[in-house]
Amino acid sequence: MSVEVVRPKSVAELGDLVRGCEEGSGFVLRGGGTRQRLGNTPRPSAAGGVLRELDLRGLSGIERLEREDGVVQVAAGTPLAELRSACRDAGWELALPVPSARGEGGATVGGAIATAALGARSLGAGPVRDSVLGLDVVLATGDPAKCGGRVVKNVTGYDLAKLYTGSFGRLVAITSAWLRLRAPDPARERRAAELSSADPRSAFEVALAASRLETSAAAALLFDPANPGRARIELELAGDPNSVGSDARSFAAGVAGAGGEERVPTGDDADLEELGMGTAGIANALARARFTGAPSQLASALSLLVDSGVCVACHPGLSVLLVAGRDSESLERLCDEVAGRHGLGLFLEELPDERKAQRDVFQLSAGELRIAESLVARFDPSSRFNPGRYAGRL
Amino acid sequence: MGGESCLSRPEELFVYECDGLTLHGARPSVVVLPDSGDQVEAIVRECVAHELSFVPRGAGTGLSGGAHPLDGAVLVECSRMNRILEVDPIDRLAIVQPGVVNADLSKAVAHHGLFYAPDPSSQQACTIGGNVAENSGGPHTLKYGTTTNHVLGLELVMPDGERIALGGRSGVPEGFDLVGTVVGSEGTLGIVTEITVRLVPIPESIETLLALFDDTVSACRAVGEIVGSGLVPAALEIADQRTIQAVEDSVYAAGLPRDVGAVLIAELDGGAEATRAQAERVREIAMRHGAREVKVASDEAERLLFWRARKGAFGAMGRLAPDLYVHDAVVPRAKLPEVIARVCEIGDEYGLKLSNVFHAGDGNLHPNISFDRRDPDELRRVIAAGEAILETCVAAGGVITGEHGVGIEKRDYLSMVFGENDLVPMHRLRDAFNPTGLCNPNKVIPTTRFCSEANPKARGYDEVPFT
Repeated sequence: MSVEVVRPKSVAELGDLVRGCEEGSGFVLRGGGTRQRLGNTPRPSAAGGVLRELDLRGLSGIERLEREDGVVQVAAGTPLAELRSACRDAGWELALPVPSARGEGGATVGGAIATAALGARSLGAGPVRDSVLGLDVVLATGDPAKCGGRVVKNVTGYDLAKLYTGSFGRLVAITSAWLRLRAPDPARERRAAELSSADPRSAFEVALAASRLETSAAAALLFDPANPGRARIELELAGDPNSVGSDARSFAAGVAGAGGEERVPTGDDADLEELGMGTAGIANALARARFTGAPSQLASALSLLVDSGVCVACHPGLSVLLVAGRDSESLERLCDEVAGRHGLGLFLEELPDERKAQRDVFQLSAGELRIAESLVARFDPSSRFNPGRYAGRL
Repeated sequence: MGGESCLSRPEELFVYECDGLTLHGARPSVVVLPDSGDQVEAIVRECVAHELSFVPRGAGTGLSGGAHPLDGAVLVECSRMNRILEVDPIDRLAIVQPGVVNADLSKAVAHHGLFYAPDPSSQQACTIGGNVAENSGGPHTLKYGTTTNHVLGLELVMPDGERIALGGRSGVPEGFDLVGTVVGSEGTLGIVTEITVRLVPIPESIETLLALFDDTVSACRAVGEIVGSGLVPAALEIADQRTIQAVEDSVYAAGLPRDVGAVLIAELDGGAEATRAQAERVREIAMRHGAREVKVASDEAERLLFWRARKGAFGAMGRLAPDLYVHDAVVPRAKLPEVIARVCEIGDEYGLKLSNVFHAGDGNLHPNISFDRRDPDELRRVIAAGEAILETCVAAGGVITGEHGVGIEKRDYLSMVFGENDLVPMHRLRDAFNPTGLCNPNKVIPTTRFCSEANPKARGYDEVPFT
């Protein structure tokens, strides 16, 4: 069934569209579409209601790039790749992950913020929430509002930028952001190693130690059923050249001590922008889930996951572990068991549509869900933005 | 609760009338001192049942009146909830009750090679719960971030008395960042009863530099180049001449020359080689901007001496006058030189003793005005000068508070930064957690819908009675 697409070219036009929305109808917010399937499937709040696609890529462009301060103000529909290029030209680096372009136009700034995107390099760059200094938004009333600012330290009023980051577009439509940039690293090196997967915890310890090296910018531990019996560590070190060299030697020693061997790093630069590290078994999976937990919690869950034959990408320094498989129902059963047994957070990133219709892909606690309901009821009582997409099908 | 856990005599309530903001005061109806989350829950439920407003308080070191018990509120004093419940050196986290003193946490985990990074100047007294309420910073915010970057999870007693857990041990929110939303909410969204905090490794090496400048503006320009070069020092702090002279006249004397215009304290930490190289870059930049001398601390004792000038500043100012009004605006780093020059002009224009000691690396200014509030004319000038300072900072692209919070002190100045539309979602957020308005009411956001009515001058804010 085709969905009407609207693409406002200004914040005023966006506001008018929202104000003019009929009761029971709403919008599915969209940027580049690279993370469009995350969350539950949006649905109108009332029978007979219509959801239109609100394409925010019409709000595009870099508004201000302050070289001296290392901050940038950018419209939400701006492609991340374009922003990163502009920042590099100005001598700075963008801290947001820039995933491989899938879908028309590539990932956007607003999408990365709304979904709190994580990539392997988020270890060194920090999570998205740490980069966001301020946001301009349109409320569900159609009115514009701003929060935060352009300075790196700010407790002026409630920190709404934190609330909106990772809110899956359920509370507001993000139209513009002030972002903090990073200085480029003077040295950058890739390292990799292979270890036996007979004892996943041992491999985990090496990966955890690698993630805690001072110059560690990305550290992933990968288990791929296509390569049974082996665990792979992909590492990126970035920073002062002497420190990078020292950390590379420490990594080598750790690998050797665990009976592993160094290897040539695989994949390209783009793979480090994603948690899956370009692993085919993760990229092509029908089902994908993300666990969160302290390192020891992730380590304790690892053996069961590896033995079950799913693809695993573990980022100990990020407290995140990604699993993927082709059989959705068995993956879900496995994930529910592992999350419950080891006290892990669970988010089902990708499921077939028929499975998404049958379960909530978020696993929030009752208390968090209660607060979420209260927030949605006040921020978007008419369910204008992404109704049904959030936890509890809010 | 009774006995020593519940204070109601006037002489007992007197000491809780204000926090670090002494310009105003409000007497609580009663002060309760719980020692557990169960007790906090019971207290809140009792308050709700009787429609009594309640206000959480830590050590009372806050500088914006966030813990003032307005309109006879019940004060929930959390200092007895001072246990470190768990330290996990493998996962590098700790779970603490809100009354744990900030500096005590770092001391408790030091033998694991870890520390708790947010280090407000009051860290020897302030509590983790208070730090969470204010999203406290400190000199090392520049590299390590503020409290919000170090809180992984919270246990919160909601304003209706329900106790819930937010976040956990990973620090990765799935969906709404409720932990990030509560941190910095100044105790208006509930009472925090447990905090899971991130611990970080004690750096291998620390290099501390003290650069002496002939004037504050030159020191600010040096900071601008340091930040613009991409270096991320652990700290970049500036103290001006008036501050230095106050320090040298006090018990905090650090042997600084009294004729120096400003000092810049720069601290780098990390791997030994990298830290030395970065320190040398900072030294070169400082010299290029006219530093007359740059000293490098040769040992820990000298490092602590450099920091005495900074950390003893507020205590030293107690000798200048009975009262001190501390501002907390933040400006873009590139604007520091022009803003600091204007701030000093404002002090002169209003005939006030104004000194500056600030987190230059973040652009977080602390213009400090020493005065005697028993002099009504001086008090009026202090308030007026404060407004002028905030207007200057906001006009430069800044904000009115970087770490002290809004509380009651700056509540009615929010209109300098935010319009009416901008405050609507803040009201919605507060209502979502606190629909009855009983939890720490009349803090952070103006209660009047129209900001022009909230203008402090219109409400006679500058005529504060001395009682």
